[in-house]
Amino acid sequence: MHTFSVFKKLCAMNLKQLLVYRANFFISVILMGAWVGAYVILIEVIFFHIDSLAGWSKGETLLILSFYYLLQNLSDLFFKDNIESFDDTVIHGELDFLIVKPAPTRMLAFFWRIRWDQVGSVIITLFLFTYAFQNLAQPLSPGYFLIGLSMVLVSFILYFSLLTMIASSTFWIGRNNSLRTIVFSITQLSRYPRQIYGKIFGLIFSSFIPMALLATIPAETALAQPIGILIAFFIGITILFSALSQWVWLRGLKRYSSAN
Amino acid sequence: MKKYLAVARIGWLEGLEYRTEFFMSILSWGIRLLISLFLWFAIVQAKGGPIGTYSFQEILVYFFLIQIISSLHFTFIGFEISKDIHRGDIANFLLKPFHYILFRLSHSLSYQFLRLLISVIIFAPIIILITGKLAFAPWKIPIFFISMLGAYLINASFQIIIGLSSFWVVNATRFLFTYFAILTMASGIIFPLDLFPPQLYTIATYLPFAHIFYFPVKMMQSATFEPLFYQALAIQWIYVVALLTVVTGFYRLGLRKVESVGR
Amino acid sequence: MGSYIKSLFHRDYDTVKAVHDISFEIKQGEFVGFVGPNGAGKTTTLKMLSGILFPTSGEVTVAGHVPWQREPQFQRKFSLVMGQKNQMWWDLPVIESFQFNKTIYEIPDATFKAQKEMLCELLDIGHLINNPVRKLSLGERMKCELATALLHKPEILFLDEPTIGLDVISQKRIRDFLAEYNKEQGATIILTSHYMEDIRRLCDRVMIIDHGKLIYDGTYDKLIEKYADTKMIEVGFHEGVSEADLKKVAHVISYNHASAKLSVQRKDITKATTELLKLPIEDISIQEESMEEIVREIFSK
Repeated sequence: MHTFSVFKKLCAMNLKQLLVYRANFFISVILMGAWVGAYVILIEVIFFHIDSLAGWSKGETLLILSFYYLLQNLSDLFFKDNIESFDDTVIHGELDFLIVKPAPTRMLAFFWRIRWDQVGSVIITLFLFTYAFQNLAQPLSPGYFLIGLSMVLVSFILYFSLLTMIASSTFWIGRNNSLRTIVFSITQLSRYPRQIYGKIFGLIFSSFIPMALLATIPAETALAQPIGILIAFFIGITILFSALSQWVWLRGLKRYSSAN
Repeated sequence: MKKYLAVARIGWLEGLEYRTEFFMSILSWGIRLLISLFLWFAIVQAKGGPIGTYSFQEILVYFFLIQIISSLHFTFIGFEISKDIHRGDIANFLLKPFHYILFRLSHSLSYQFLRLLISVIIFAPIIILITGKLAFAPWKIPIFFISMLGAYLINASFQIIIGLSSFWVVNATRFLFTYFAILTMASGIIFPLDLFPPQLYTIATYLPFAHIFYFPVKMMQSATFEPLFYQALAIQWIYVVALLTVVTGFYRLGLRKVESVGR
Repeated sequence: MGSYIKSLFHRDYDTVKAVHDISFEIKQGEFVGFVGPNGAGKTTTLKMLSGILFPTSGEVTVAGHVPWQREPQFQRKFSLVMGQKNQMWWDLPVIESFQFNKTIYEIPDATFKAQKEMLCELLDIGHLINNPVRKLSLGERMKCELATALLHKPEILFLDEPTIGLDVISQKRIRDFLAEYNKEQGATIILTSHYMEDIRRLCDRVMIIDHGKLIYDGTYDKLIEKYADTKMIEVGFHEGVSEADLKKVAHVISYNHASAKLSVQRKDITKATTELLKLPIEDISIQEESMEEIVREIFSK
């Protein structure tokens, strides 16, 4: 249908632009490598002193980090740039052109620049996965790993919803240079095992700001841990935030349309 | 000197304009600190005792001190220089009666001092509460200033050098992010460097990055003056001199490029 | 089917009533100009007609739709182009932006091909469409913007300051194109501008908006007859021309030691110019009255 063909077209247009930005491809791999390297070193240092972090072994913690970076790869590819520069889009009036087009405005706004030049970073994530696998006590079952990957898709939708809500704050706050820093900081909540946050904050970061679930749930699923109810909760909360973010977006758009 | 104070004042006023962003960034730092504390609490719990030489209180103090120092180091100067060069604005700055690099430094400095002030106001009382005493032996004050100044100059130099590389390279901002990644790895900003296995620790102490965060914090946190600190200060200032030389060299080379092409 | 617009706008803010007490009806195929000083409310009106903004009170119907409901069927019927604002894909050839709009507006292949050929010919951009947008000059870019906007054969074209910032030749080319497009294709064109030249050349009908109010609605000729019966002469000189000298020839609007602005009745232009040339002036230019002058005159009458 029309929405899907618009999405396909956005992918195609950005793919053509990739040829213009060839150099970025290699640079982004190096950059990704540096960041992943930094956090792998952190984990190595931690596990030099202990055997298990909040119940997670080194390999398992690396697995969470791998799923974390996979999610980051996907979000960097599709919508991160657009989220972080949304205040520019609004202030410079580019949003107006998106509003008048017969295509879903939110999709146009947040999937306008698709960063195919970041695809190379996935290579680094694959290396990380391999390193994580090597450090696991028992090999993963392929079936559960695939389900884990499908959980990443759920995380993708949840992460997108949360980030668009943050971006929508532009409708109320206006120019907001710190969108980037807020997105980065909030994202850090998903990097480590959710169990480190204890009872109270664990609850907060699993429900009100469900960031802690994003990487941990796919890892727990891949490790075939008995979290059936939690998975149902995870999917439920994704649906909830999906609807919530759409509502926030529409309210914001309404405010924009009457208070230009 | 007066003109740089004027520039600092402008930087201050501009900072005030961006109040919301300022508070947003404080919120962001707060979240990151919180995550860090949760992580290390879980680590210390798993160990059942001190990790390396750090009890949980000592880890807290370490990271609060990191917060204070990083608020001084946090600057966009690398990005600003890169942008000035790319847009050709640098030609305009060169016409003005001040040194461009000093201009950029003083512009950023007032903002950095403000952040430092706020961090000290927030964290110093907490640190004192935890450590139970003022822990301000007389030897610390001059050491504190020397190592903080050295740290500031090393970090600023790296960012300036990368920013200046925009004269020859298209995408200097990527290298700035790579620099931040290296800092994350080797400066002590996300874990105390002495938690490294011994050989790695030794290597790290000879690199300039350890002298931006780890050693200044170590010197402030330590109750006694360890012999290692002499060596650390010496290495730090060797790096300061070396980097400032590179900055001057790059700047001169870059100027030649501007003057010859006349962007 | 005409475009029927009737509205009474009011903003609740204590600061600016951007648009206030405007009411009009535009028929299909008309070429209408919204003119007024900067900040008058022209762009706001356009945004309300295209559905970007909605008023606090009042009614707007365009081509049988309420604009801010943003129905796709409505959005396919119009196009919005804003001067100096770029909608095309910067690094890609123009033709790619064409293709993008083809997908967005679901343009059938045959229509797309026909419109593309027609527009490339009328705008003389056939040799440009394979170039990346960033390599085009401002004038070329504007022509391509218009082409991109017209591929889906919209009934209505909203133009916000389309000639702003362009050189004189490009301005003329775009005006010629718009005049022809309106005549040949019968599209309704609503154009905002603060250049009277745009209006003189293109619009059957002029609406002057000032401070959010509609202060004139009629033809260009009547406007000139009633309110813009003067032209402005600008003179430049080195010395030897005093204000008194100039006052003998015409009404002086402003004067300084190097230049002066004069206002002269249209019928007296030739006589005034002849007299002025007797003085030791170095530079002379005759212009249409500025928008500000005309508005001032409307208010004074």
